[in-house]
Amino acid sequence: MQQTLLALAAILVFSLYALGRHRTDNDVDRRAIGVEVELAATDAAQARMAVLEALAFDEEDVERTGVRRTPPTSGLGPDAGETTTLAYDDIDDWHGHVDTVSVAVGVDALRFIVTTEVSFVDTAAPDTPSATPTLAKKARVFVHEVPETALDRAPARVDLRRVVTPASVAASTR
Amino acid sequence: MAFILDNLTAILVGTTLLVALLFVQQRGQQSAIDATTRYQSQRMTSALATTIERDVENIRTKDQTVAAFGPWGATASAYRFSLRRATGTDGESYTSQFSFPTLKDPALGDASPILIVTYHVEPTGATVRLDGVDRPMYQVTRYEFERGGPVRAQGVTSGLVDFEVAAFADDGSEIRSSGWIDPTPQRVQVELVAAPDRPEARTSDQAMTSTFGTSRHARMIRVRGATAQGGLPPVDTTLPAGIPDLPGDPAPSTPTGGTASGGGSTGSTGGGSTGGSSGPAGPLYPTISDSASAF
Repeated sequence: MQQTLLALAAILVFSLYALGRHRTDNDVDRRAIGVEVELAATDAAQARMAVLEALAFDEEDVERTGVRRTPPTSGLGPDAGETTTLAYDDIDDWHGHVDTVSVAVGVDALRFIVTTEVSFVDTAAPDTPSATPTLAKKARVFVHEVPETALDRAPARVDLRRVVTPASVAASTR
Repeated sequence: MAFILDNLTAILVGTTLLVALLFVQQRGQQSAIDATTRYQSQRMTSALATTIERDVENIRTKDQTVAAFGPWGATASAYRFSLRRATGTDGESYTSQFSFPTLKDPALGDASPILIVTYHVEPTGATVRLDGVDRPMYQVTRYEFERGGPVRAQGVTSGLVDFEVAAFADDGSEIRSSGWIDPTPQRVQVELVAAPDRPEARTSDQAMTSTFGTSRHARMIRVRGATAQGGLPPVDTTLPAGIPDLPGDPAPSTPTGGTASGGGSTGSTGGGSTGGSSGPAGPLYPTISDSASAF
């Protein structure tokens, strides 16, 4: 009887240890996967931001040289005739754009929803939104993972923001 | 004998638990090694991507390079951004080389000497099994060439299973094929896929591999030199107000020293007329048709 109790106690202790060890291993794997997904999400956000920064500050600046010193007069969002992203020629054309991008990982792929927002900000205080056009625009790229299956971790989210001015973005030739 | 029989239950249970404990411990060790090698792999690819990013961000145009290097051969095409592709033993193509002029020391800005950097990718001969397919392993060597100097290998990164470089033109079109790219691309995407050296699985449960057998690192890099207005200060203080040609504005003063696209498309014949200094006395730098052994 005494041996049986000791054996049961040993099995119980071992089971607890094995479960704890398994949970630790699982945590390590989950974090490794999470880092990979976050890297992919960051890449997607930076890629979108690079596209924005290669465009003119405003529609009025397209195919112009020099650097503007007065706020633009046009509003945010795609301009007339700009129905596809290939036609976008200034930063704020991307305002409100939402699309899904896939990143190949082995034979599978990760999917992300990429939301792009552009707003005017106070040039002296870039964290302060401006209701009227200014010489500074804040581009925000928000990426969040679209899980294919139920996840045992939080979906990856990336929020990339950058303030651009007429002098910091491309002098577009488009 | 009597002792064994008296304690048979304890011996059987104890032995079973001991063996199970060994397997659990071994799996823990494998997991720790796996995490460490993955972390090392991520660090390695991140370091390589950062180096490439620094080089690409400071790409110089062909004309700037001609001015710094002098003419090279009949044309100065070697000073342009170039890509070369190859196909691996698994049938998948990859970027086997890309080359471009860049600043030697970006901290010095325009005062920095210009050098030509080449990232050369070659198979190591090793393979790794991923998703049921044997993938060849590659290593990337960074070469530098300064005017008058020999080509120097500046570092090798191995453990990669894929290396992709895509250049994006002004209109957003993507270029991956071999060739010179003119004018200088506005954006360059670099994608590195490394295969961490995973520990060998010794038990059936260890054979279950992670979804991510590889570690991917990609960067979209904006080539600022491609969109800068060559010769102009960052802010054109000569303009009266606003940008030129706006309705109602006075006629603009004519910018000098380049075009909005950076001058990479001008003077395409090279020829060194803008150089003012003699170039390398001979083909010190390999052309795109040269093999890796030219290094």
